[in-house]
Amino acid sequence: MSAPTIDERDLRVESGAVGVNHDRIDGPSKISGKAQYVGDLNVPGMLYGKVFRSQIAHGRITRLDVSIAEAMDGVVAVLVGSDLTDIDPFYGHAIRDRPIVALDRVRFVGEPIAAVAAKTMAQAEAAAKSIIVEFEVLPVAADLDTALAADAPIIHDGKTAAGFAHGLGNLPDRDGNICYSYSLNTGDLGSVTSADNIVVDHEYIFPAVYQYSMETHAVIAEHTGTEIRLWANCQHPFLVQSEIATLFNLPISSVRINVPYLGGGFGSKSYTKMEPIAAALARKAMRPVRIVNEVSESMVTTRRHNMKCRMVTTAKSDGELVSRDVQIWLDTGAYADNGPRVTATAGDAATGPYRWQATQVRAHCVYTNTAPSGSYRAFGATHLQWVGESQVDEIARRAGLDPLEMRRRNLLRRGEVVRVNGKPLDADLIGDIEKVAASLGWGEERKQNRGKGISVGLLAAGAHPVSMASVRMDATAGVSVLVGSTEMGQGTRTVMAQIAAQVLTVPMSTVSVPEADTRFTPYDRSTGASRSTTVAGKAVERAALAVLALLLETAGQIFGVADVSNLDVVDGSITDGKLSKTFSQIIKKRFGFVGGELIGHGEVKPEGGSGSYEEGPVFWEVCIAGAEVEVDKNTGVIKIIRTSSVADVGQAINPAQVERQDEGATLQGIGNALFEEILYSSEGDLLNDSLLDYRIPTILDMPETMNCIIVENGDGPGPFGSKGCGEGALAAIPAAIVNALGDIGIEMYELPLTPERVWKRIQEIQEIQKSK
Amino acid sequence: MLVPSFEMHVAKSVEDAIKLRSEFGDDSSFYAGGTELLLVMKLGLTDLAHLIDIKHVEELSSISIDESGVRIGAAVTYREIENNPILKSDHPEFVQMISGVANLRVRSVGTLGGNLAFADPASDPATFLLAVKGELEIGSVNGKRRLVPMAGFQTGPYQPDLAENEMIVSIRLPRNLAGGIVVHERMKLKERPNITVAVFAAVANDKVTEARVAIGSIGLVPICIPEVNKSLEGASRATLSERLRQAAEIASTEITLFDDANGSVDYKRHLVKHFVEKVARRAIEAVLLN
Ligand SMILES: Cc1cc2nc3c(=O)[nH]c(=O)nc-3n(C[C@H](O)[C@H](O)[C@H](O)COP(=O)(O)OP(=O)(O)OC[C@H]3O[C@@H](n4cnc5c(N)ncnc54)[C@H](O)[C@@H]3O)c2cc1C
Repeated sequence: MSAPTIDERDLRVESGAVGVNHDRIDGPSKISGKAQYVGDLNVPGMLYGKVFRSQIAHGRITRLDVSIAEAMDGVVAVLVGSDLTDIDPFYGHAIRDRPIVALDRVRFVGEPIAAVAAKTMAQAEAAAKSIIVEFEVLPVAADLDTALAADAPIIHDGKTAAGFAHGLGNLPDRDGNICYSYSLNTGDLGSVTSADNIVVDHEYIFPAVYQYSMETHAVIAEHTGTEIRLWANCQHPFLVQSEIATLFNLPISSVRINVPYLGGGFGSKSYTKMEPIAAALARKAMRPVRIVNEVSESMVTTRRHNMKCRMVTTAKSDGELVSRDVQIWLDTGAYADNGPRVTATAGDAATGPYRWQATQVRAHCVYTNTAPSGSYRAFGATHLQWVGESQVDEIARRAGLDPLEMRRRNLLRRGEVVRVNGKPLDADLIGDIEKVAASLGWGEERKQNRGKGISVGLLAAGAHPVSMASVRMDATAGVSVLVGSTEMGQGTRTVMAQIAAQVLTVPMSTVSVPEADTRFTPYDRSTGASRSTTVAGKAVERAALAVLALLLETAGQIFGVADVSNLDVVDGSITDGKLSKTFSQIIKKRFGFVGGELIGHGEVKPEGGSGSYEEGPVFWEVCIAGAEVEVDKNTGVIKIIRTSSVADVGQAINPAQVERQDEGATLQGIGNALFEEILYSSEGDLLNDSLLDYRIPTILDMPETMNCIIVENGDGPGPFGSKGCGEGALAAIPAAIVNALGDIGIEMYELPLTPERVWKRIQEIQEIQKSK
Repeated sequence: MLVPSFEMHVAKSVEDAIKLRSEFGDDSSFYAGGTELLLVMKLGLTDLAHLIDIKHVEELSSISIDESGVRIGAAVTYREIENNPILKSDHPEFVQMISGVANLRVRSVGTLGGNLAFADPASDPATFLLAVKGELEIGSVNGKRRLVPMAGFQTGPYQPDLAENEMIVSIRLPRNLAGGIVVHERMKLKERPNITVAVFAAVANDKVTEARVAIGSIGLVPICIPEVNKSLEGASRATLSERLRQAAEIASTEITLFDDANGSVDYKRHLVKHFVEKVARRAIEAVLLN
């Protein structure tokens, strides 16, 4: 891993905590095994929960008998649909289409039908096994084509009920199995076609994949009658809090969620997942219950949308891009989950950061009888970038242009419109792609069976920009940062500590960042969309500045200085040039006796507008990467020789963490591109629900060189000019790999690039060449 | 899923293990590294009340090497094989095959006996043993022992030729390969191999006198196809490429394949052809040069 060069770093703040590779503050407890995850926690009186799930993909429940289970040893409660008649049991932040447990119908294999709470795990498992269910089997639509056919079984009926946080403007009614559509048009497609244009037109397939965080979904729930307590591994505690409150008719503040460390999320723990069923089970049992999914259960709790896409790109014969027409169908499974948002983001990513005369995007979110699909790191962008970028490369080849030159000519420049009414481009894409190309040895002599590819894209990042934070400084000048960002391995607690330490000029060792507890931690919209450093970090910066203002105010009084801008803050002290007082002395002076504490509040909210997605994003996350690959034409096996990615972060708060983010995203991108694919039978059975059959990348699949180039132009809206990262490389790597294959004449239209798929394509291309 | 509860019995000798197994019958199983057994139990596919731990039986846990050959106790782990200095120096191809099995976690507890007794269609050792004419020592009731060739031991997927109260006691490799050489390759895309090919070849007077091509991890059981071996016998430098092509062609048409999550029959046929040609070439060229 090469370090950023000096001139790339000269914008870094001069001294202090920011811009420094501080060790992870959660490192020691994790490495020593002391860190606590939900599965490690015990609450007094806690029971063990086991979910009873559907074995069929679509059917009406004709009989559900839990009497044997209820009578079994150790069983305290069995939750079924009929326990939920006193509440409106449907949830879903985008579309409220999902019952806590199946009421009268099941829509996918793995859908919860009942849940058992027992004194031991073994008793809960045994009782769940004894539950009897019978169905009237309904026809199954286990894939997009079946679900979109004229005679498709319709998976949801009744009116579409909007969820509490869909953020999609007017939610239209369902059209067959299409639960949401998004469209985006510019110019007039009909008027720009011309006879000598280059036209590239293909259909593309992206597979269903699983987020595969090491830790599965886990919740402990307790319902006291007037309050619900949850210990949950959720990425968005405050959105879960709202949703649980709505479901159980409680004020938001009567739901309290603690979020310990997460063993990875990648989107799988965004929004509400296992919390409603755990809360409902605890309510019935009248005791706390813990539910910990097995891997096979988490794989049917959420996944990434598989997609079909038809894209047509046209260009002039000299490679100037003219138009793009895109149709997208995303398989959201049996319940919408975050599907509508994923659909809109995919639509936004479809045209890529290029100048067009006309574009048309129509993206559809489709129900099928498979497990629900939701967020997954760089959603939408990962789906579309390889499609769009492989078409740009195909055009370059046909126009006789180098892919890098093709992009120099067509890429948007800083300040140009990306999406009408949205934020203009806030990055230097051409500068970034040049860096990636240089680090790949672009233009060097080609080796046999090796190809190189680059790709560029943008991801609308930041989500809804609402975050709050509190910074508290005690009388010894110890600092606690209360911020809702979930620590899921990305290092957010370390970054928040660095921001506070920088503002307050105190050592990192005096700053602590505890877990989120919604009773005490201020509101934060969510941990996702690369937003925490930028948005929540900004709130922390403001909260720390508020503490600093209080310190200066008191110091001004001590020094008898009216204008505190004449005072200097140096290493935890304030000085007027002659005298100096430590923060601790100032606090004791302010309150007298043993002192008190200073509390600063920081708030980020939409500036001016409504904070809607259309006028966003908070920033455009740059998705730029390159790859060199080698193909074994005899087996179709692809080896990734090297990768290179750009982290265009404005200012790296912790450069090492930025690099780790890009490396993780790169490896995940390699998984999405080469290996990962959830397989369903036509009856909707999940065929590969363990690591034995579902292939994720391992350390052995790492390229020999993974180069992360940190770009710091100081142009981000976050603290110290920073902007988020961590998703860009995931969107860009599959595209770079596909383009590297295209570079040696193997154009691919379906992921993952399994050896068999690549080998077959090579045979197909050879046949075509023979017949010419 | 939790592993259902069971009783563990630690066997003191081969005879003791077989006696326990006869006593508990269907409701019991030998337990070596547990890398297959525990997976099967966790999946709820079996519900055994008794496990017979064979790891502490001296006879099953030792390696001995003398003039007559190599004897590896059935409960010896892959890791012990990998780290054995004599095997490393005298049987490098065997050790290289072993050190590519699964991953370090599986190799540090998994055993050669467990692999062969489980008779998974995807097995590197079973394929290798076919090529070198390895043998298995089987122990039965009343202290009876017999030696059986690897060829024919696996009668179908997960079907070893073992009676209910029989066990594998040891695995035998020839001490030296009678002037021949063995070469082994596998392609692994997920946890287990997608194809394993091992080829033994011997030469006299610049002609192949004996060739044994074992193909595993892709069909129902690891196999040696006599016509494939025959098509390589007599090959010389001049005719090698043509003979290899023939051998690969016969192998890919004769072998029984099926579509599954590891690939289509078309792709698998191609892999058989490619790897048979490649590995046989490596083996024969190496002996021709010797
Ligand atoms: C993740 C993973 C990856 C793998 N990859 C590979 C690979 O790349 N190549 C490959 O060849 N294999 C592979 N395997 C298979 C591996 O080689 C076997 O799991 C291992 O050798 C089994 O040995 P064990 O001692 O753990 O058997 P156990 O699980 O203890 O036993 C397996 C079965 O054999 C029976 N048994 C055990 N010993 C004897 C005996 N002496 N006599 C009679 N019956 C006996 C048991 O009763 C049981 O039914 C893989 C397995 C896993 C889990």
